[in-house]
Amino acid sequence: MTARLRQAMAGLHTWAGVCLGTLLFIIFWMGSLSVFDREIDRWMMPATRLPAPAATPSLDATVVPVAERLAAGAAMWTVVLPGARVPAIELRYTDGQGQPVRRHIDPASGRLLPEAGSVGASGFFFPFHFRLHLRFADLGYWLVGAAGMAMLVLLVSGVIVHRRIFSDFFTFRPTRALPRAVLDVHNLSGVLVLPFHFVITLSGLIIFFAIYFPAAYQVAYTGAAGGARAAFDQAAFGSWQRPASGRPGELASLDAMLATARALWQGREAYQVRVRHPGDAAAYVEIRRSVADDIPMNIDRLIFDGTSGRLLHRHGARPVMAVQRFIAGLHFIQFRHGLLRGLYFVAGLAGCMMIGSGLLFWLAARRRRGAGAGMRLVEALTVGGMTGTMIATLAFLLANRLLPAELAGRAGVEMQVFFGVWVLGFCHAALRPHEAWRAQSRMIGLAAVAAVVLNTLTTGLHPLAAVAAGQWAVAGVDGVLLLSAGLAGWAARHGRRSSTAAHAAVDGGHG
Amino acid sequence: MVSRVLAAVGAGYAFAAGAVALLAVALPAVAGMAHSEAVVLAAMLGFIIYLLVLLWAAVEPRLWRVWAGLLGGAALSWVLALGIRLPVAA
Amino acid sequence: MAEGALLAACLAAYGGFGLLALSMSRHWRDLAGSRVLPVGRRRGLRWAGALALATSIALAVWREGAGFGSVLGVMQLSGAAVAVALTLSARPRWLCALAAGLAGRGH
Repeated sequence: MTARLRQAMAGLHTWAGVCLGTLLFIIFWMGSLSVFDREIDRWMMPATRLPAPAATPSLDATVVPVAERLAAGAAMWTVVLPGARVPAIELRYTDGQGQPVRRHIDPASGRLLPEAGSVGASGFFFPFHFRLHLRFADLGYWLVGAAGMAMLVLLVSGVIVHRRIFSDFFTFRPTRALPRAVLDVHNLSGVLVLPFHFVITLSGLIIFFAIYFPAAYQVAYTGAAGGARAAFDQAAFGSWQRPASGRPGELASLDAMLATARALWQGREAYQVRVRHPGDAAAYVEIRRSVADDIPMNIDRLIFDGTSGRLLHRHGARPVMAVQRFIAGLHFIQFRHGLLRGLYFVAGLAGCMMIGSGLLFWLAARRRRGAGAGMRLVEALTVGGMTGTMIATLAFLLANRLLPAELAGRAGVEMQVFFGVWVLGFCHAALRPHEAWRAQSRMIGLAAVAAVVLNTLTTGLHPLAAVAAGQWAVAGVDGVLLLSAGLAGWAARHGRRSSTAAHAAVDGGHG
Repeated sequence: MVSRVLAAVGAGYAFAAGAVALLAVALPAVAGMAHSEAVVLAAMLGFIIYLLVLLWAAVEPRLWRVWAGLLGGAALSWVLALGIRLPVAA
Repeated sequence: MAEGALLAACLAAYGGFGLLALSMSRHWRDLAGSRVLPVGRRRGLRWAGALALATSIALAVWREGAGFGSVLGVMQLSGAAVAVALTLSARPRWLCALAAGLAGRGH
């Protein structure tokens, strides 16, 4: 390996890292939270903290009457069946104003639960992770895609730059001067968790292959009737459609269709039922098979005629698509496996540590050469992007417990609180560059404790009571909040001691 | 520096997308793969191709070779891809 | 039995990386107290470490099946490697016992 090559890679690593590091941190942070999005949903939607359903509920008895009342006139409505992670039946549709609505139904009683007034983690952190809530011209997807490609480049160049990768394999010297210790954290979390980082980044890109490489289907399906994308989706994903007839029709039994689906899938369960053109004579029902049993996210789906209940179409993945679904499944972890879920969460946070420590090392090494305006900007972006994002996340949870239930547009206000606090975090970091780090760490600690206290006050379920009631999602969120409060407090104290060390000499560059 | 970044990101993507388009139409024509399968395989390989292109563009000492290689490769793959596609569509 | 297999897999991964760490002269010097690491001993440690890591993956696959098992095995290896690195920096004595045993037999 020539010195020239390593130098080129070092330059690449530095610039890609400095330019996209903060964005990557945010994506990794939101992704780590999304690992437990359903559990955070239970924390944020107390009405849905139900016991796990004992048996598959009857959709005809529980959902259909509610859906026909609420979603009358909608082009479709979707039912997500209850499971271990989401104990309530979810009903999704688009209301008269074109706004997506998600309501919950108690599977045991068929009772419609009160509106959650929140999009929850699955409606906020999860889309944040892959499209940053930027809907305009798919800009969010493309920014995340660019960051993902940069991450792959950073991982490869990082391994090449870190020439003593094997002799430093287990090296961590927290007692050394700050830049050296920070670099050890960067190398350790990068090298030891490298398989996860690489696979999670590449699989994340591959999930959206049709967005990032539209050329593939555009060229392959030029001139197809109904457009290239629709033709490709039909062949690859088995999307099936027919127009509404305009004549009224009665919906056949969904339970009977589910029974047929179970028989066709050798006893394996469905997870989603979607009714298109409800109330129309040409209504049809799409039933998707559960992805909870295995790693690949299967695209097994059945289409039934809405009025007769007859099977119209059946789809399953072909070999290459099955590989793509396996890769997607590795990323989405929708399968039932608590241990792996926990490991993904920790590994995702290790990714945050790797990105954060890399940025901190660059700042510490750069500070020695004197601070310019550009350097100050990066510093504010780094602090605001890291601790600021964490504070905004906690503010989102606090707003969820503080806003009155009857507030109009409550779910929207929750999100505005996130973005408002986020902007404040960046401003604070820009105005107070030397104290922002510790002040924001302290704030994280306080906000995390406050979230647990507020949850106890507003729902009466303190962490121990949650354990006793078998509400593991609530107990887990509270536990992680308390743990992070402890860590943030430690970081704030530790930061005081070593803030002078940050200005000390940097001993050596990479490796 | 700016020119190199533009070449790597912009021309590199044009080349990777061209290669993906070419694979997506060539695999069914040559290996008899189903169209939808070829699209998925080509697009998945596209990320690896783009990664290699980005790394090469950072390492190659002569900048003109980066530009020439990527623009030439992009033009060639797009012409071939559309060339294979059009007779089939006709 | 089932949880025992996963626990054994974790321990095998941790032990495997512990042995690999010992096979590196820097850590051997720090932990075993003797300056030189004989070539034969180094090779032995590497093989034993690699064998332990392979055992860890095999146990995970045996318990969880090829799909979940291989993913779990790889994640477990990362976790164990981080644990060994933290042990070396915070509580090196825990690996010392292992090192002393091996060094004692060598002299």
